[in-house]
Amino acid sequence: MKKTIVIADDSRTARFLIRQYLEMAGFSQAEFLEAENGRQALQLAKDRQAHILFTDYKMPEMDGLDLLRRVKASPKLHDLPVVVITSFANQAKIDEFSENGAYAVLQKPLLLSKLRKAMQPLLTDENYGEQDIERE
Amino acid sequence: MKITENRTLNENSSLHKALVDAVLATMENIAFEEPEVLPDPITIAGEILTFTLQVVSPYLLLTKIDIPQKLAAKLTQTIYRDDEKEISGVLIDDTVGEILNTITGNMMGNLTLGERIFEMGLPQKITEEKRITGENIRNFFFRIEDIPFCVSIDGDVFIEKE
Repeated sequence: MKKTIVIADDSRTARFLIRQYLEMAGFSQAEFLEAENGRQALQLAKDRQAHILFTDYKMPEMDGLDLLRRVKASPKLHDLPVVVITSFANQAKIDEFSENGAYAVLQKPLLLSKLRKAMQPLLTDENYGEQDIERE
Repeated sequence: MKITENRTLNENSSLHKALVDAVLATMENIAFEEPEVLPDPITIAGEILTFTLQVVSPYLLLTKIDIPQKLAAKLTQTIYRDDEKEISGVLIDDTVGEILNTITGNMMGNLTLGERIFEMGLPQKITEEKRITGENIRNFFFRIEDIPFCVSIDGDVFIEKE
């Protein structure tokens, strides 16, 4: 089964870069859905039964922290891994996201090595080949 | 448009290092470019894109990037490669905003050393020529492939700490 990944960021360039890095990190076969804010992302995650949600923190309408809290409060989405990718990632902010149930918090600019390490448990052999995982 | 320096580059070494490290990391990982750090002020020539971003906590300060349209377009083209046939002005603006957002967040992370939560706004495009002329402005100059650009910080908190 193909994984469905929602990427929420108000910057199109940021969404593009996250997608590129995810493809290099082993998610090249995934279906990517993009959202410009937390509200769109929440709706997409529900409607399309997303497997992973990547979100920026600072976004108009609904920010990443609010989105994270709503996902974790939702019986339908509670188990959805939420990865926060933000330029706000100092330790205090990482702790705040973690306390609210974030699967991982990664700092912008995104580093492929850190993304790979964080995402490795979410990759499954039947869906993603070794050649993808090892590709730089 | 000419941007000149009104403070020496090394006046505040922690701020200097935090910002330079943030610019280098951002450009390397977003645009795959390694900027040259310029020790002296230099004229930023041609049509210039200007974006600002307000930091509201724990310090009140404004960051700004002045980047020639030509360089911004080149960086955007480098990022999108063949995935985007036509690099529009909107896409270039988006890229510059994201670059400033990442630089500012990275710099604040360096400055707060993880001990404090910081808050900042969203990048804003300055459509009219609006030069920061405050007493506490620091201008930092960089160059990518012979095209200079400037990142500025306006705020007095660092000066009070000196």
